[in-house]
Amino acid sequence: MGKSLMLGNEAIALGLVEQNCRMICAYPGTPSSEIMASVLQQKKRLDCDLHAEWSVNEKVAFEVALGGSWSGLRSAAIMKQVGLNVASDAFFSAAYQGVKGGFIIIPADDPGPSSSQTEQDSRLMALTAKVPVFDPSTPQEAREFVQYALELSERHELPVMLRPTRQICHAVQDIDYHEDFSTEMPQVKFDKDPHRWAATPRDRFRLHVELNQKLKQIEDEFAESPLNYVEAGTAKIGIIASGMVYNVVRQVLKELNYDAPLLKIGTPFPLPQKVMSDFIADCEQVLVFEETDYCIELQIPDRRNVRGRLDGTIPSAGELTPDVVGKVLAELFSKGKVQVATDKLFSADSGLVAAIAKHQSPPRPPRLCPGCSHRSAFYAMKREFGKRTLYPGDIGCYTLGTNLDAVDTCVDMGSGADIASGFYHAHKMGRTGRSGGKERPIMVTIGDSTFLHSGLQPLMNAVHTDARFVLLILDNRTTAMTGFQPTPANPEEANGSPGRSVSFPDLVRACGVEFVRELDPYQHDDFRNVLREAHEHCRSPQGRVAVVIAERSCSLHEPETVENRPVQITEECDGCRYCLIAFECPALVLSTDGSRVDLNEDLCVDCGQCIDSCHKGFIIPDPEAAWT
Amino acid sequence: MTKIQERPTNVLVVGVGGQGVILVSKVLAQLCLSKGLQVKQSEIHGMAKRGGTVFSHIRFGPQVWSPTIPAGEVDVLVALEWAEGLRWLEYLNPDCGTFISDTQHIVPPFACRNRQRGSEDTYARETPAEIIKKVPNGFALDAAGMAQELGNERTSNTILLGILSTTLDFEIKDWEETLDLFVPPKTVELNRQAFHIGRQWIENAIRTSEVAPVSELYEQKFFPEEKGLVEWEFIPEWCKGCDICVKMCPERCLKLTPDQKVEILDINDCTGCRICEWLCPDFAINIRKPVFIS
Repeated sequence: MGKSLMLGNEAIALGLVEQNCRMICAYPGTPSSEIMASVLQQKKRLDCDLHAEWSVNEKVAFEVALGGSWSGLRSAAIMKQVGLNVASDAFFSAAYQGVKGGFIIIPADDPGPSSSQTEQDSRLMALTAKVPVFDPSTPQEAREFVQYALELSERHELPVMLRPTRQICHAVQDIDYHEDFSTEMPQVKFDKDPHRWAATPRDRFRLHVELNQKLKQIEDEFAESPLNYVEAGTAKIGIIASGMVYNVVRQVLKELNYDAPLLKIGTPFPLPQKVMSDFIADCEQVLVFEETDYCIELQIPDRRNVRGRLDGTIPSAGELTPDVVGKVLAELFSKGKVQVATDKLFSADSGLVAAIAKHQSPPRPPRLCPGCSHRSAFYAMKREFGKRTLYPGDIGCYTLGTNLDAVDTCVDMGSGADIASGFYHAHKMGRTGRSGGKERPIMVTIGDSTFLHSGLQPLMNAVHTDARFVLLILDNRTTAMTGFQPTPANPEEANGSPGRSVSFPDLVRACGVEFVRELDPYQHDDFRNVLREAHEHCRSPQGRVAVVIAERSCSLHEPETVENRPVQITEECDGCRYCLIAFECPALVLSTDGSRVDLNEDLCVDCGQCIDSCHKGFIIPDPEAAWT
Repeated sequence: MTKIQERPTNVLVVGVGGQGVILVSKVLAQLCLSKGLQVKQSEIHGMAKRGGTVFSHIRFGPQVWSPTIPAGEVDVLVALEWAEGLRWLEYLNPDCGTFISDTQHIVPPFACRNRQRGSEDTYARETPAEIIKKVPNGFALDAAGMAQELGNERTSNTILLGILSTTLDFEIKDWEETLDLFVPPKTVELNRQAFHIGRQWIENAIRTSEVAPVSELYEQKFFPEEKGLVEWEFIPEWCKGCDICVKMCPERCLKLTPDQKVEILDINDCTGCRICEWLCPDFAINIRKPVFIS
């Protein structure tokens, strides 16, 4: 027994381990990544027999975990919300087929969004797939809901979703923990039942009917559940809240000193309609606060007295921060002529803001780290191919290449090569048509983990349809953006045990690519030459797609692989700032008077790569150091 | 001194990746926890090496609901970098908030993305003296410089922690012991020193009722006043059409004419970086720039 400060994601991991979850599969992605990392720590600490893997993508993670559940083990699949799109094929089918061991899917949502391509609401995915959802509002609740979810899943033999949002995942809270939980291994056995596990369309209809019946039962259970409860209040305006925003509403109501009745919903789907209609009937008007879309609001059949994201009372996009909630409530109360203590609260236009109105802090987007091999690859590519070239990109650290004007597109995982194929075929037709125009080179960048996640099929497709472009695989030997998770190309598995690694050149050749080169992007001149050769090959009559593998370990993950090549910036530097913009290393900083560029020795990793970024030769090898 | 009260106390720590924002917030959160208070913390992290904006909300009290702080509700705003402090200033409680900021500038490339000579940097222009006058309680100091004097620039966050400690109601001993838990074992003594340097500084500042020392930076003429185009002077007789300048121009604004001479496509694209002048083996190019720094 003890109390400890824990990240929401750590609390979820604790919940999984203490609930005897034996098969946990994940693909990393903010804000979900720390769950698996913490599971691995717990596994090591408790020395428990637990299969934990970083799968190659979310669909694979989901399916492996499903196999675990069908064998009788409690299982979990963890991903970020857009990862559920990748896993959705299996997700929808599994709802019909059901599960054996408790099965929990945890897609972490990202209202805002802070680091995702959409703000999508996983609860709406669950609603479409007909999977019950638990929506925790604190790290502590997230950990407790794991238990409810697994028990519900076992009772009804149905996959169940636990949906945390970023503010739950990354919030830190003091959490009680104990270690007297069951660690008994359940019986592992797969019971054959082809009408269920290999259901044909005929069986599927029956399964769909059964699924609907299960949901009806679950709705009745949820109506009695302690996770949905009313906090009484005297005001006429009632509030329904779910997830993180419940806390925000509680805080704001307290500060406004407004005593509204509050219905807290822990299970937004299937929505307990009886609880809802009773609450709504007691209030003059009801406000629904939920993130990120309108899952609860949508399920209310009679919305005459209901206000929320659907009717625009609450902004229909974005996170519901205390500022937003405060503004919504203050506005509503002022219309209703209700006296509340709003005098100073939530007034963004206070005197202080007016006083600093003229100030403008510069945007400070993240940059590639000092010593990053991606930067060297991008820099060589930009120097060789210039501004006219088309640069489809992909998702990972190297999306930050947008700062260097080296990434023109970013759609979803693995999209770069497909966009490139589309560009190629379109521009080819364009040239023979009326518009004419010059040929534009196409250089695609994709990271190692993203390539294995979903970059192979686009490559095969491009080879088959003869799209011509250069695919640059930026292999830094880890999934760096999300915290160095291993990929199948690494020699180690998630738990540190040795695994077989996949070879990129073999993979690429097997797809039918003839031009394959592996090279260290630190070798600036050679790298440029290879890129040029690759481009020439792919545009020659006999050519095809060309692949260049830029191979060098992540400088943050394996700093020992960076050679010791300290540099100096000479007195002659005239502050032209070319290196700052074109190379953009965080260790190169403008001096305080703007007259020259200085080296931040704390950040510099002595990779020596910036030497190529000063054409005047003012960045030189440190004469006092021996280069390796 | 902010007394612990029913309303949660709100502390916001902001800075640039790699400065140690998270350390400051972790020490405070752990300290609150050990005092039996409820703590909630919410942060943007993962930017350590990437030079992005980092912030951490810490709320503590007998009962805390939301982990994020609304605008205008921050009791103490600690900024490890000047422009980051200004970015978050609207979160400060306009009646009784305390603003503690390092005057250190870390200018991001975005602030000087326009390399045209004479173009304005977009870095915050207010001087500490101007800002300190406008906030209820304000302290601006060159913590980075003080840390450098101490022998380790990385302790500037601990100096600011020392200043933060004077605004909250906890014992010095507890601060020190919690700090020890989070710093590398070898630097425990150094960090304690830094912590006390911060405390001494603020005591002096309050006793002498002296406005925070304004960084010397502002006495220099930092921001360019004049704007003007670059003059690109070319001596055709000396040019042998070797193409070096055309290939190396970062803006790609040079072109080789059919008679093997160089011409500039658009003088507006030229940033006056002088690479062509520098690399021309025949001294055929001269760049004249408007006065930049007087």
